[in-house]
Amino acid sequence: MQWLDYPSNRGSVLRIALYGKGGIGKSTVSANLTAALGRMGLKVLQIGCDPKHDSTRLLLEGREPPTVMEMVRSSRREDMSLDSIVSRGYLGCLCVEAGGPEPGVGCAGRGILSTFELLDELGVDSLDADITVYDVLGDVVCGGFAVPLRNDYAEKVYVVSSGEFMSIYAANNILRGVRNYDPRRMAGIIFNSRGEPEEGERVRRFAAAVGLPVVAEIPRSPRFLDAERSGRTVVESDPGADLAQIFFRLASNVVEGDVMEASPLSDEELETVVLGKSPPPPIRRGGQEEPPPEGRREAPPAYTSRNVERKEVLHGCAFTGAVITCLSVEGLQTVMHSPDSCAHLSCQMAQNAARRAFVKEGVAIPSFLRPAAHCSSLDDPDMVFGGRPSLEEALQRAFERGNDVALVSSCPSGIIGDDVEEAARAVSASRPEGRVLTMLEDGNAAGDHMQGVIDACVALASGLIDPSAEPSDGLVNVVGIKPIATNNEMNMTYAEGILRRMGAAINCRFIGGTDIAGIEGFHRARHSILANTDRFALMLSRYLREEHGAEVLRSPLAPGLRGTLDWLGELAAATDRESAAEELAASLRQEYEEALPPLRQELQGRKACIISMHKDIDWLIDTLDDLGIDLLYAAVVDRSDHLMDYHVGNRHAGRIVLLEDYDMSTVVTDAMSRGPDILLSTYPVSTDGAVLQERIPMVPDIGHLAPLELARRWALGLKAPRREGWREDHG
Amino acid sequence: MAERCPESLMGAIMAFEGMAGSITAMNGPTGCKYYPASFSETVTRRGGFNPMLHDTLFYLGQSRVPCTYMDSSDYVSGARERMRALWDDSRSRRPSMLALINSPGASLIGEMLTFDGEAPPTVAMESPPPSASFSSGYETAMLATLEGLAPSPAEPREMTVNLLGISVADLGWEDSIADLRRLLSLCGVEVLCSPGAGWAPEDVQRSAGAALNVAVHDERAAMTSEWYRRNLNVPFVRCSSGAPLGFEALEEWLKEVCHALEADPSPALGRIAASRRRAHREISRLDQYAGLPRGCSFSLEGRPSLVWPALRSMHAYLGMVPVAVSMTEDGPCAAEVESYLRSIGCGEASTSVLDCPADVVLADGNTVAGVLGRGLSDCGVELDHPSLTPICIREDPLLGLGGTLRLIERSLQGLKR
Repeated sequence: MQWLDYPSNRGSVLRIALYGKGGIGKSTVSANLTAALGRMGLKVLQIGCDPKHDSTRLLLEGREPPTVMEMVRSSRREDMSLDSIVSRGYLGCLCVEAGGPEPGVGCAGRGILSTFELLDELGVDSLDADITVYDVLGDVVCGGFAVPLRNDYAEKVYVVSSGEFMSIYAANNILRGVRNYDPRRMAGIIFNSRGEPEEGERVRRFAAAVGLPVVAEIPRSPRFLDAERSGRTVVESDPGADLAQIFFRLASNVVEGDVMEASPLSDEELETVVLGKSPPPPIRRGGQEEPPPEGRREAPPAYTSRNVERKEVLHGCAFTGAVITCLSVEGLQTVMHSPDSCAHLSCQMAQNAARRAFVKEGVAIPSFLRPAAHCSSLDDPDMVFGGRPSLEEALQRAFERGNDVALVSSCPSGIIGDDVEEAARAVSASRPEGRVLTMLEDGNAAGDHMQGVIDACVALASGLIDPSAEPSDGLVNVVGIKPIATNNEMNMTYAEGILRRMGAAINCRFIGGTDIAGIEGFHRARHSILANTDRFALMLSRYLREEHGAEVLRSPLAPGLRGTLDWLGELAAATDRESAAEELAASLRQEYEEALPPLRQELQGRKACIISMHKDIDWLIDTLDDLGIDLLYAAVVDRSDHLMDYHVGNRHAGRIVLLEDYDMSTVVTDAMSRGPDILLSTYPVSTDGAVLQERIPMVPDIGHLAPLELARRWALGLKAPRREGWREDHG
Repeated sequence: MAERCPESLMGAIMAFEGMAGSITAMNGPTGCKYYPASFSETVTRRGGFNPMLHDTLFYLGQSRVPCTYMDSSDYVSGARERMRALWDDSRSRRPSMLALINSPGASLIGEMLTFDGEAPPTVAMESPPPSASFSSGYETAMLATLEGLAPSPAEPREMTVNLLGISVADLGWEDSIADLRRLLSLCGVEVLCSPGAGWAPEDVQRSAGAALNVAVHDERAAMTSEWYRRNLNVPFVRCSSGAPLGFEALEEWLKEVCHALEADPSPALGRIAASRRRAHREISRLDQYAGLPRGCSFSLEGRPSLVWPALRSMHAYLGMVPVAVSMTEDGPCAAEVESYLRSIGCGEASTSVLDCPADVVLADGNTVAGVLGRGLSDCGVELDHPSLTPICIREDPLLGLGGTLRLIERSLQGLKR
C-alpha cells in the first residue's frame, strides 16, 4: 500500500497535541491517527494525558499499559525507567499513559506535570520516534493539562470536538489556553460527529469564526465499536475502509499541514455563533464590589487580621501563624498537613524564637525548645493521588505522643482538595480519649500570619475552654500573648510580680507558654488583661467577650509608669483590691521618681525625633516629657506588615503626624532637617551615623521602669563619638 | 525529625543564593519567602530585615528572595503577570544570574517560569521536589544552574580542583573553603572554585577546567559530579571518611585528593601534625587534671557527611561516648555511621538528640539551644545554622584544620567532672 512508503519525518521529532472534552472520542481519534501514521512508515510515540489512561488501549490489543503515575507511586526513584512504562503497540508504535488519581482525590493536573518532568528526566527524547502524539483531556486547561501546550512540547495543536455546545465550549477554552503560550500553533479542528442533527453546521460555524479549518470530519459509525471490541483501531482492522482513509488524510495533514493563530471567542460571541443567540444585555453591577477571590473559605472569618480585612498583600501565611500558636501550648501535638518545607519554616520560627529568648534572657517557652510537631510530608505522589494516607499516618504518630492534637492545613493540601476534616474524624474515631482541633488554613488561603494566629486562638479556645470551670479569687488571664517575642517570658515575670504584690496570680496565658489545662481552666479567672492593644489582642478580646462571656479589662499591660498604673487600677477596682493597689502604686511611683533624676540630668534639653511603625507611642512621649527631652517631630508610618494597626487616638495624638502615604527617604530627611540629637525609630534608617539612632522595640518591655531602661541606653549613646572608626573601613 | 530539618526548598534556594551577585525570585506566597530570605541574609552577610530600607514591592522588607506574594485567588487564576513584573524588576537590577523558582503551591498549579526578552543568565525551577532532603533540592538547583549556564568542555588544568557539596547554608562556609584551600595549596593543589557556595558565573566556566572534582559533603555531590563527568569529562573523587573534619578524616581526605592528582600531601600533613601536638598538650593537661575527656558522653546531629567524621573524632580521638546520634538526611556516609556505632557497642544509641542528656551536644544552634534550655546538657557545639553566636568576625571554619581544632576545643570547653 502506498502509505507504507511515506518518507520518515525529517530526522527530528514532530510533536502534536490532540485536545478535547472528556468523552468526545479523542482517544479513539488519537489511536487511529497513530495507527495511520504508523502505516505511513512513521515511528510514533503516543502519550495519553488523561487520568482514565485508555488513550493507547486500541494500539495494544485492548491491554491497559502500566501508567507513569503508578510507577511514581510504587517505585523508588532509582528503580524507575522508561522500560517500565513504555509499551510497544501496533506497527511498533510506542505507548505511554500518564494515569492519575481516582476521581475526587488528589490533583490530576499535577499528575500530568509530574509525568512530563519524569519522562524528560528518564530521557524520553532518546526513544526512536518521528512523531509524538499527546492525547490530552481538555475539559480543564489548568497549568498541569496545559503542559503539552508549552513551547518545548507540541508544535501543532488539534482540537477534537463534536457539535454539542459543551464540546465546542471546551474547544474554545483550549484555544484560550493556546493563546496564553505561543498562539501560532493551531492546526485545525477535528469534527467527531455524534450523529446529532445540525451539529456539523455548528462546528463549521465555530471553525469559521475562530479562523481554523475543519481538517477531518469523522462520522458516527458502528465500525468503531466493532474494532474496539477486538481491541483495535479501525485503521488496523480495516485499513481500506473509507473511515480509515479519513485518518490517513488526517495523518497527512499532521505531517504537512500549516499552523494558524489561536483566536478564541468571548462567551457571548460563542453563544451567538454556535447557538444563534442574540447577545445578552450587560449585567448591571450597580456599585457592587468585585466578587471575593475563590477559595475554600466562603465568608471572611468573624475575627480578622488587618491584611485580611483590607485585602492587603498577605504577610506570612495563616498556616505558620496557626502552627506557631499551637506549638506554644505545652502538651498539644501539632500536625501539619503539608510538605516538609512548610513544617520546617514554621518549626524554625518557633525554635528561633526560643533560641533568641534563651540566649538573651536565659529562658524560653519550653514547648518551643522541643516542638511537638508532626508533618504529613506531602510528596509528589501525595499531590497527585491525594495526601490523606500520609495525613492519617501523621495523626497516628501525634496520638502516640498525646491525646490532644491540633491539625493545620497548608496551601498544597487546599489546592489538591484533601478532606482534612474527614481524615481527622476517621483517625480520632479509634481514639475515644483523643480530640483533634482542625484549622483549615490551607496555607494562606485563610489569610496572613496574624489571621492564622487569631484562627488558632479561636479554635483552641472553642475546643478546649471548659465553660463549667469554677472561678477562683485572685486569678487573672493574660490575653493576646505574642509567644515569638524574645521578651515574652520576661514580661510575664514582671506581670506575675506585680500581681503577686496585689495578692493575685496569672491563671492562663492566652496563648503562649501555657498548657492544655491552662486553656481548659480559662474560666477559673474572672478577669482578663490584654497583653497589648494591637488588633490581634483586640480581636481575641472581642471573641472571648462574645463567645465565652469573658470580662476583659480595657487597660493593657504596658510600658511605662502611667500604663502600669492604669491596668493596676482597673484590675484593683474590678477585684476589690483597691487598698493593696494604692500601696503598690505608691511604691511603683516612688521607684520611678527615684530613677528619673539621674537620667534627666543627662538628657534634659536634648532634642528627639520619632519615626515609628507602632501607633501606640504615648508611653514613649511620656518618657521624653518626663526626662525633659524636646520632641521635635513624631511620625507614625502606616504599614500593612506591622501589627500595631489600630488607630492613633491616644493622649498625645495631637503631637503625632500619621503618614499613610509616604516616601521613607522624605520622612527621614524631614526628621533630620530638624537637627535632633536622638532619632528614635522602629528600625534604623539610613543616616550614615549622623545622629544617634535608637530603636523602638517591636514588642516593648512592659513595666513602670522599662522606658527608663531604654533612656539609659540613649544617655550612653550620646557619649559615643559622632562617627566611629569602623565606618571609615568600608570597602 | 523531618519537621526540624532543612529540606529541599531551602536546599534549592540556598544553591541559587550561593551564586555571587544573583537574584533568586520566587513565584509564591510571602510565607514561603520570609524565612529563606532571612536565612540567606544571615549566612551570606547581606542586609537584614528592615522595612525602612528594603521597602519595595516584591522584597517586602528584606534584601533577598523577592516574591510574587501569591494569595488564594492566584492559586485559581495564576500569578503569571505578577511574575512577569517580578522578572522585569529583577532583570533591571542586572544580577549575575537570575534564578526563578516556584513555591510548592505554585508548582502544583503548573506556573510556567519562562519569559521572552533579554535577561541575564536565567535558570528556572518550576517544580522543586516536595518533602525531599536539603541535598536533593540543592543538587536539583545545581543541575539547573549548570544546564542553564552551560559551561563548555575545557582543557584540564593540572593540579586544580573544584570543591563540591558546600552550601552557603553551612556554618562558616567561607572560612571552611579558605581553610581547605590553604591546606591543598601546601600540596601544590589549587582550588578553582566551590560550585554552589560563593561562586560567580565566570567560575562556572572556570570550573570546567578542573583536573578533579572533590566531594566535601558527598550527599550533595553525586548528581553534580556525574554532570561534570558526563558533560565536561571532569573526574570525581569521594573520600569514604566523609567531610574533612577531625584529624583522621582530614588527613585521609587530603591523601585521597593528592593521590588522585599525584600530588604530595606531606606539607599539609606536617601542618596537621603540628596541630596534633598542640591539641595533645591541652588534652593531656585535662586528662591529668580531671581524667577527661575519656568516657564523657556526647550527642550528635547533622547530615551524614558531617556526623561520620565528627563521630570518629569524638569517639576514637577524644575517647568520648555517643549516647544519641541522628542524621538529618540520607547519604553515602550514613551506613558508615551505623556500622561504626554497632562496632563500638553503641548500636542502640538514641536517635533523639533533643531528648537525650549528654555532656556535650553537637548539632545546629536551635537544637543545641533546645537541649541546653531544657537542662539536658551544659555544653553545645554548633555544627550548623541557625547559630547561637551570629556575630562572626574571626575566621571560624567548620571544616579543615581550623574546624578540627574548633571541634576539639569547644567540646572540651564545657566538660566537668
